[in-house]
Amino acid sequence: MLCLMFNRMISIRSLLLSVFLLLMIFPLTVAVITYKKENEISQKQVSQYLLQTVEQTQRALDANLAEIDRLTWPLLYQQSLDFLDSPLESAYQLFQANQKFRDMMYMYLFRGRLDHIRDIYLITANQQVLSTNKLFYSFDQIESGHFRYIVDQLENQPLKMNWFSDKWAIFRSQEGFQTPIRESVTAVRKLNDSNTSQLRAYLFVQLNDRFISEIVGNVHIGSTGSFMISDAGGDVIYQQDSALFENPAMKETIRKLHKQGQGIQVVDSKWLLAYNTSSTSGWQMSAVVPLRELVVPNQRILQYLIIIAGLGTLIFVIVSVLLAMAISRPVIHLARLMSTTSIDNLHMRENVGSIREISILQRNFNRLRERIQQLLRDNEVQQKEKRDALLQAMQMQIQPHFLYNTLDTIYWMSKEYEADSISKLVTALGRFFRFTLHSGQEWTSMKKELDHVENYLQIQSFRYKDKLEYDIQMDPSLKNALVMPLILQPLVENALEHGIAKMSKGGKVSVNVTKEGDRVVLSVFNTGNGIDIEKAKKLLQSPDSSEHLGMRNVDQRIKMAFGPEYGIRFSPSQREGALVLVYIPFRTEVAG
Amino acid sequence: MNRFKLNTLMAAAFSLLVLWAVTGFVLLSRDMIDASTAPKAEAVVKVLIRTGTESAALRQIAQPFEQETGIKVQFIEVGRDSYFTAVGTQLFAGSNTFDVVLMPSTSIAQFASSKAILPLDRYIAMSGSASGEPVDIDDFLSVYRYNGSIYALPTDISTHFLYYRSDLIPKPPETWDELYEIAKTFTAGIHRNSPTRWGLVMPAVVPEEREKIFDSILWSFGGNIIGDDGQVLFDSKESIQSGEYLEKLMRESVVPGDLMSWDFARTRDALINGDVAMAAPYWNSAYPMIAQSSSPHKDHIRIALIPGVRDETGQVRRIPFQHGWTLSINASSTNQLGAWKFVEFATGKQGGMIYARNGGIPARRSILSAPEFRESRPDFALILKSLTIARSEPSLIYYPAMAEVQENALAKILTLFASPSDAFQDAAAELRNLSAHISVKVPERMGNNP
Repeated sequence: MLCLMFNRMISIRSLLLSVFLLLMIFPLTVAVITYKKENEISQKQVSQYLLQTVEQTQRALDANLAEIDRLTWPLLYQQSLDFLDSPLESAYQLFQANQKFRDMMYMYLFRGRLDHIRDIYLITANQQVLSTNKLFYSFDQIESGHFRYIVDQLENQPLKMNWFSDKWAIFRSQEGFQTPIRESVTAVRKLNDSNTSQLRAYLFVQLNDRFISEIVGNVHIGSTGSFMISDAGGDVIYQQDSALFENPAMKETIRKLHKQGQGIQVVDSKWLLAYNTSSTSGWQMSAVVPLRELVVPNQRILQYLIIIAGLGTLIFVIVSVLLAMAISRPVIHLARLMSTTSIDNLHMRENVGSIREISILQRNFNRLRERIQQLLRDNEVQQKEKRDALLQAMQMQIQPHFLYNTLDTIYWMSKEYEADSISKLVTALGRFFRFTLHSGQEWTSMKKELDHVENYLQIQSFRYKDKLEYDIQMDPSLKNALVMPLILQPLVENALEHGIAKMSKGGKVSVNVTKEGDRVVLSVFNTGNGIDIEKAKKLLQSPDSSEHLGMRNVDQRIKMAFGPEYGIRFSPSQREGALVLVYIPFRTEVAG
Repeated sequence: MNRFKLNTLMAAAFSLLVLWAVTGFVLLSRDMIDASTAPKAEAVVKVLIRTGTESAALRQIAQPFEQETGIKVQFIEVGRDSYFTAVGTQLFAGSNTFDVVLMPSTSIAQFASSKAILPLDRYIAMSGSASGEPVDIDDFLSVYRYNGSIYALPTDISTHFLYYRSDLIPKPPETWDELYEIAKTFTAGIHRNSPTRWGLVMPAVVPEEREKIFDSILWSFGGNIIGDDGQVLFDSKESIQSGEYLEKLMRESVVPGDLMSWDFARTRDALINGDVAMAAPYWNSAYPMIAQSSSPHKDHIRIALIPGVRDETGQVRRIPFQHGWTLSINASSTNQLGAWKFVEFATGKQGGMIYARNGGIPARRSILSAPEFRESRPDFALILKSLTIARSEPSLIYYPAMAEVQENALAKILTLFASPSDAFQDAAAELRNLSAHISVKVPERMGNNP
């Protein structure tokens, strides 16, 4: 293309290869742009999905917390805790109160959530303890610091259920059995007398770890991501097993997060952190997913695209080279052949290929060269014949004056000795030679040609004495018709040698010139033996035979001059004798 | 280029392009997210268990079961205090949050009658053809039927032992009276120089412990709650005598005053710590825990049959309590076949061996008498011996109500709130009231031979 731009010649192969390879750039460019865009969109979408996941998980957890909260609402009215008004002095009374409390908690309020409840305590205003845990029965067993902290916190929101992490548990019983179930958050509510608004008791609902893990345990943050829940004070309430949260940068970022609302941050350019804070509990859910995980599928797509592009490039290069070769090679070969074609290597042929347009070029080129070869051959033959005729004429012109002088001397001697027949013969012979020696001319008139034939017959009549008769007839309109010289003499000579000479009593030769349409017909008839026409035709077409050489020369000269429709014909119509016809076009002037 | 060459060339070019297209298709069709890290859906059997020795041993069965069947086991563990309420609530509510439930044999009638658990006969019949190893029913110490159908297979068998410090008490007491006397000797409140704080302890918490523990005393004295014919016997002379014995223990402070807060673990730990000289009646399952503990007293803590009452012939009548922990299939389970596979495996011989090696007491004769455990688990022999004389609680559809009445009566005695006579008479009246309103299913007794 550049070559074209700089107006230079370029090979067809280079052009095809350049175009094919340039075309490959477009899909590659499209692939790279698509990958980059898809990467951007993917990251945005994943960020949104991550935040949505956190938000929805938080919402599910809040619904769980709200349910626990609502289950305690029946305790807000006086009648529910009336059993506390009974005396709790004896062990049995305390047992009965505990039993009622336990029944109320397990049988009525939390019956459907028992698999999430670890213990439920009620600490009355006068520090009596009712507990579902038989090991916890005295206020002395309470961790007083935690209790005070919780009570203080409750004063901030006295009507609401408050949630505390395991760190603030007021009673820790020793595990009697191996169990994977652990204590978890505690829900605490202040219960006031609905009539007097005086503090009646604090209700502690200690939940186990399944309470949270059942809600969030099946939540997956991507493949390698993780999430944690922390309370408003930053204490961890739930955390998936992951080293992600052990990273100092991550810890610090989470610690500094706003304690309200939601958001997304990129931490250390390595992790995507989404957080959401619950308005119900104040718990903050933080989900972390390595950016690498988000990029990995896209990187994998890129890797595959690169592999596909690389493989495609290789295959396209191979295919382009092969196609360029397939298309350009015959063209190049043809062009090279055309540029190197000369007279010397016209015999070389171009193999015809399978591409239709190129094969047409190759076929026509081959035909062209064959035609040129044929024309060259024809021209060569003509030139050779011309040279031969010229040589012959020149040879014959070597000493014409000597020949004429000699014949003149003989003529005068025959006059001196009164030998009339000799003088006639010499006179005829002189005319014969004069015509013959001047036959190098291309055209002569019909009259001159017939005069020459008459001369020839006159000379031959001296040879054959009384055995030869001859008769020459011509349409007078044809006397100026142009004819090649010496075309009748070989025919008459044949008629004498093959016809009259073989007849003991001699014969007659008749020469007749007539016109048929635009053709002139010259007929030579002898009364001798007939002609084997098939044999005569074969001899006429056989270039190697020395027999009838003169007649064949006449035929070839006529065909070369006028075309194949003219020439010699043998007539089979004669019962005795032989008739040879010569057809030439009627012309009185030499064609342009 | 001739036609053959051109065709070959075109075919080669086309093949390369097809190869390229196929390669691209295959590569881009691959899952871009690593499948190994993606969450997978898998078959899961959820088993509801109670915190305790049974669940700890049962958890050990999960791994070989998962390896053998490819079914993952997920345990839902609920604390001992709320377990029975949770099980009843969820089964009656038609909850499908669990497939298999661990329950005491005494609860089977209640849940079977309400069709909350599945009869297992169909699965038991099927087991022979499917696995080639049919369930060996005869090997179980007991199976639990309701209306002729088996509803649960036992995974654990329990009975009561007497635990005593052999370094202090060379010969274990044979009667309750002997026990009382020895206990007094080793109670610091009575004998200041006693090496132990308490001469005797027993679990007395609710639910479950209090009335079950007392049953061994009640039956030894010849008392009963409800007779085989459905008659209430809790206020019989023999029953009241057993209550008076308990009252005596409390009144004389031979046992801790807060006995009602003593549970299995506290009793076990008191033995391990050397705080008590004896524990009776007390669960057999504590023995392997004590043996595996690092207590300096563990080699001195021995087990024996619970004491009894000597009759006129001089024979000591001992009737220890026995019950089984069984596995049943939740009728609302969405994976009943998987549930059966777990029940079959856990209660089978392979599961039983694993269970036994991890401190459990499988309810199979072949395992309890296996030579493998003869030395490592000397408690097995005593279990078999105890089971020959042991008795089960009646299988009643109102069993929880009956137990609650009994627990309340015992609480009155343990807190010295009422006399045994009053407490048991009140309880008997409540029981008669209960039985009058609820049809009694007496014949389906636990411990029936298979």
